[in-house]
Amino acid sequence: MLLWLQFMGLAFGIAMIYLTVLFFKRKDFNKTDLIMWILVWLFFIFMTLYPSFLYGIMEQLSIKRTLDFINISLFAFFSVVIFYLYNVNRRNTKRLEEIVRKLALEKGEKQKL
Amino acid sequence: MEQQNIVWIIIPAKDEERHIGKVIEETKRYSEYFNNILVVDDGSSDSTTEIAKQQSVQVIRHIINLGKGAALKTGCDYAIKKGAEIIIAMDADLQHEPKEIPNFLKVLKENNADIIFGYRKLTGEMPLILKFGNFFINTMFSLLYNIQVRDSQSGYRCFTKQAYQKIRWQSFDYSMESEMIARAGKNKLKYKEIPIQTIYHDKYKGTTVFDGIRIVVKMVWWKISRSV
Repeated sequence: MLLWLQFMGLAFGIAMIYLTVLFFKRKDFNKTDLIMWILVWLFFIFMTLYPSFLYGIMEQLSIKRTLDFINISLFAFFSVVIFYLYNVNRRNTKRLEEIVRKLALEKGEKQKL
Repeated sequence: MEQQNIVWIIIPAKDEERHIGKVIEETKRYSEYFNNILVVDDGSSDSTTEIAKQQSVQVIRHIINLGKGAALKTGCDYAIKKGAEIIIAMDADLQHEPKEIPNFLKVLKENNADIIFGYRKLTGEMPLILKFGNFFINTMFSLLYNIQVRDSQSGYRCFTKQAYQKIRWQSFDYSMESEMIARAGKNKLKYKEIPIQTIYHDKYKGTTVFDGIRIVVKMVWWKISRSV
């Protein structure tokens, strides 16, 4: 029988798959994004339903409690996500600056006094 | 004083409709010392551009706000493309007295300097938090970059085209003033300082305490990453 926590995890995973498909239909995501994120959510659902799957990995890493393992994994995952987003943000800020400055300079060139 | 070099005054401005007209008007009184005034409107939502244009000066505009550093860089790039040899950067909020322009040029030429920093005298007018912040940042400069400046946060500066090419900053915001000093120190540019009169019109504008903290963090980061 499913525990409440597992049920919530399952519902969350399904909701995220729905959102992923929705973003794909709206053309915000391409096929690669769709496949990658669906795999992430399926893995999440699988881990929720069969937590014993993790025990082998936990033993290898000498982690006793499942919650500790989840915390460590999430910390590592979000660190990567933050690093990636930081990089994307930096790149976009730089691009934006270049565009705005280029537009200003071009407009200035056309200006007559 | 007879000017020989092509001198441009660059005024980055953001939402300065209250002051920009007066700043340009006052600056024009010293027009014998410079060739052009350029206002860089950094995405103002008020009529800064329109007021500046009414005064018959050149105006270029960022379609969105990028920050003072980006605005001044756009202005300097434009001025140099148009043949500027000496650039004077001043604020648009009437903090800086245009009467100092001849003095900047005189000190630059007499000392054959690359860059002149205006420094605000520590009068009672300067808010206490600014005094402390400035002292702290100046001390950090001395420790990290071995460059002694009395006022690292004053935006009233004058530099040559050659110096600009060496100090061309990457910062968008108020940390640009610090990056300029750090780059000047790194490139061993010849600098001088002159006292300037400062009038504080709006205590909610300019560098905040949080900007100060960010500037110090950036200074340390520039040093560690060797980006400056």
